[in-house]
Amino acid sequence: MARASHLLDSSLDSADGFTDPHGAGAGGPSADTVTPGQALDVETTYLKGHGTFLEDGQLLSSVAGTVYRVNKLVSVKAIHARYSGEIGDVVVGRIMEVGSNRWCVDISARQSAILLLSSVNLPTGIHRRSDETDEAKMRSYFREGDVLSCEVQGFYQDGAIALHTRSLKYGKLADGVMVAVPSALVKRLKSHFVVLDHGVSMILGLNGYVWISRTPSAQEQKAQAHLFAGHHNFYDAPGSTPTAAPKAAEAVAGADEPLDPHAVREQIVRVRNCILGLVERKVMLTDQLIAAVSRTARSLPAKQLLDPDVMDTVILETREQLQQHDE
Amino acid sequence: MRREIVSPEGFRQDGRRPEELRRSHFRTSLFQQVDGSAYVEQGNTQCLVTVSGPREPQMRSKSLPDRAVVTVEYAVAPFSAGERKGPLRTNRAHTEVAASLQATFEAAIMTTLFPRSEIMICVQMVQLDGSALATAINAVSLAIIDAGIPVTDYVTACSAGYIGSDPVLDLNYLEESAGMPQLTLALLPRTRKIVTMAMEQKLHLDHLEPTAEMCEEGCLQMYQQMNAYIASASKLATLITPSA
Repeated sequence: MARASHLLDSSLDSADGFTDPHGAGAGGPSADTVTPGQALDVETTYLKGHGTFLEDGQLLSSVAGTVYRVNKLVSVKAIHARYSGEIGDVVVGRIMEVGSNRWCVDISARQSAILLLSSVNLPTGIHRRSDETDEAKMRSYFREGDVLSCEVQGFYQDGAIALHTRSLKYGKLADGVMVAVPSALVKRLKSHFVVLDHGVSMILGLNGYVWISRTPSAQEQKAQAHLFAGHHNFYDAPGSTPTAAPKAAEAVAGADEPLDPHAVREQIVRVRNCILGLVERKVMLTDQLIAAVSRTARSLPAKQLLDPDVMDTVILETREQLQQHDE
Repeated sequence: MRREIVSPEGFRQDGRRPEELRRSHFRTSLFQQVDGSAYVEQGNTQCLVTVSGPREPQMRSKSLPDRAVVTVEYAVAPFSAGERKGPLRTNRAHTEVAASLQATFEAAIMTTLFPRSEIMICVQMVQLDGSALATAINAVSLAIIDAGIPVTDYVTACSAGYIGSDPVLDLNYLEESAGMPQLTLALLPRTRKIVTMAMEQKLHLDHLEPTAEMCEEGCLQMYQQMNAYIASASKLATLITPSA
């Protein structure tokens, strides 16, 4: 249930003092909200994007949502619309079905996405030989119900999304929490692999599935990188080295002392509850925002964050801190 | 003694004028597990709708290669009417309502954008107090918009009856059971195209036009209310974020 928060709505009216949260200049949402059938106030030379249609030479909205303009392309995005992928998007998905040479993956798109056996890196990075033994072993790589991170590779004729996991960054996810949020509330970021404070990492899937887990220790990451370094990745460009893992390892190098696993777990839950709280208030999610809110929430027990009043206070406090930070 | 539908002073039994709608109340985004949902009250008629999709069809054999399939389930709660009806059985009247809802919304939803997928609409009538079909159509319309499914327009519906020499708008149960002819009209308000027209009982052709006109007026009023609600419900909140 959407909680109309007066704390947040107030900021809509008083634009001064607030930075434009979505960077409207760079293809972000404008302040315009439109409803189905409403004429979009643009010239006819504009290109019609998602959520719009042409009638009698006029561009109309087909959904209720926020208007986005990128150069001459106009699109309208509804909050609860299903994910319509873009090539290169990082997504988190769940295996629904194991086929003969493919997995069907739920990424909350309008059809199941397809991950071909030929688009995955097998464990230990050995190049796959295409034969039946491999196909027979598919369930040992990904089983029904497994959660994985992957990338949108392309589209099939009927609009189904093709995925791949041909990079060290992607693969099966374990020991964490998945939160499903509306995909329209996930902002496109430089990196969707986010390392948060206190030993928590997060993958902000552009499809609205968010994976929160413990940040692997530097040692674990080194071990993993080493494992792959031996067998050079066939699919990567020649000369490229697996980069993601060591970089992330550096990021947590400062926190070398082992963290209390219980505390990490509770922080994971805090992050989850903060995300849910922000989504309930229809706030666009970014890495920095989630980091800031969960930092403020650090002093509270994870359970309390589910209380709407407590969450309001946390968000208000975060906003004040961020404002001070800006000044 | 038969009580009058419209009193000599021009009031109906619930205090409305003949051309007056009942008070309506809307809510959307009620559930997390479905893509869209809506709850609509028109007077004492209450309706709850959930929409899932466009999604992978649950029965793949039913999918179409060029557009989405719209399926509608229509159910009436056992406690919804004055007399309690036992456990739900497949009811021919309900199947008919479901079919008419499906036809109505296939006209508004841009199904060709979603080949090989399914849009599932579940309608649950919580309380019946007349104009059930109209309320269901309005609720489905809101739920579809809540789910972010592209439509060419809202679909708004309204019913009207004809008594004496004048039409009356938005019938309640009491008026419905008086046995007057009742017309339910569903409209695409922007173009004023009629997508569904349902008639209960006989009505003289001469009286059809004033009745339909009143229905249309009611549909447009519903549109104003629904659109105002959707406009306020679909705003994104803004929150300051640290400058990068």
